[in-house]
Amino acid sequence: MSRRKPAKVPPDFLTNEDLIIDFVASQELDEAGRIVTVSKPALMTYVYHLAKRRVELQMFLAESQVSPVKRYYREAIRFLFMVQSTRDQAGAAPRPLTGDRLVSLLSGGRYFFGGEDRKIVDAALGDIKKDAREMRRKCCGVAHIRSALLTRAFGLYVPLVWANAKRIVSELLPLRKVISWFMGHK
Amino acid sequence: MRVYTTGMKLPSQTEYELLVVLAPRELPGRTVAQRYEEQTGRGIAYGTLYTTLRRMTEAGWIKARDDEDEDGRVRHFKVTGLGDRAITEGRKTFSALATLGLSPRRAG
Repeated sequence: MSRRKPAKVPPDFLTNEDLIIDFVASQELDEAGRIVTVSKPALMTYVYHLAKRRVELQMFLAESQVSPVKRYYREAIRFLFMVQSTRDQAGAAPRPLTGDRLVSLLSGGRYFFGGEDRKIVDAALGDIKKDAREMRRKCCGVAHIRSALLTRAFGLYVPLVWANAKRIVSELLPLRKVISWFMGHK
Repeated sequence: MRVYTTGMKLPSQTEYELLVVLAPRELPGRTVAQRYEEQTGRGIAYGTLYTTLRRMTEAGWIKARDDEDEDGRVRHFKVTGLGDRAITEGRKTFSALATLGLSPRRAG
């Protein structure tokens, strides 16, 4: 029957007594050595540190109770899980949330349009989101998805701006009408 | 041979292609873009697509209907009776243009 050695507490480990001494030293005391005032935050901080140290001590003791063979197997299993998860990430797993932030950033352009144009932008942004989801399902690369989304956003905003510019120019082109408007004639 | 058969406004090439894509049934904008690319071999940007479809809606060739899904607004388009007439007139005009200047034998 093997006899297990008692766990060694690290030298920098503060015991409950140390904490109590520190806490009392930080407070205002009367002549009899009693604490005069205890502020609530100070008390909460003290309780928090006490609980934290206790948990750390329990974890340290629990870890020291595990036999080296068991610890070796546990680490090996953990390593295998780590390798497997790395393979999953590098393989054909779909990439979540790629490009969603970009789409939400690009959707900010809708505020430059109004009325029917804004409705068109909303509909097209929904289509772009669907495109992004489809590309993620096909496991396209992040750079590919981003460049495709940027191209689509460019292809959305530029024709709208161009159509509006054309409309403004076509309204202004009959100079006679503009001059009449300036002169106040109808 | 007369090229322009009636006095109605004729669709442009892109408008005609979009009308043909939309002719069988009502479709959302994204599906219209995909079918357009499949049938013509040319991609179309969403801005161009929606502005053209808006122009066609104003001409009365198609009807637009707004809907909602998890990604936001979806706009469905459907060809109207006037749109069907525009397809017929466009088909006649483009066929006449394709054979314009050819002898009847070469025109087939």
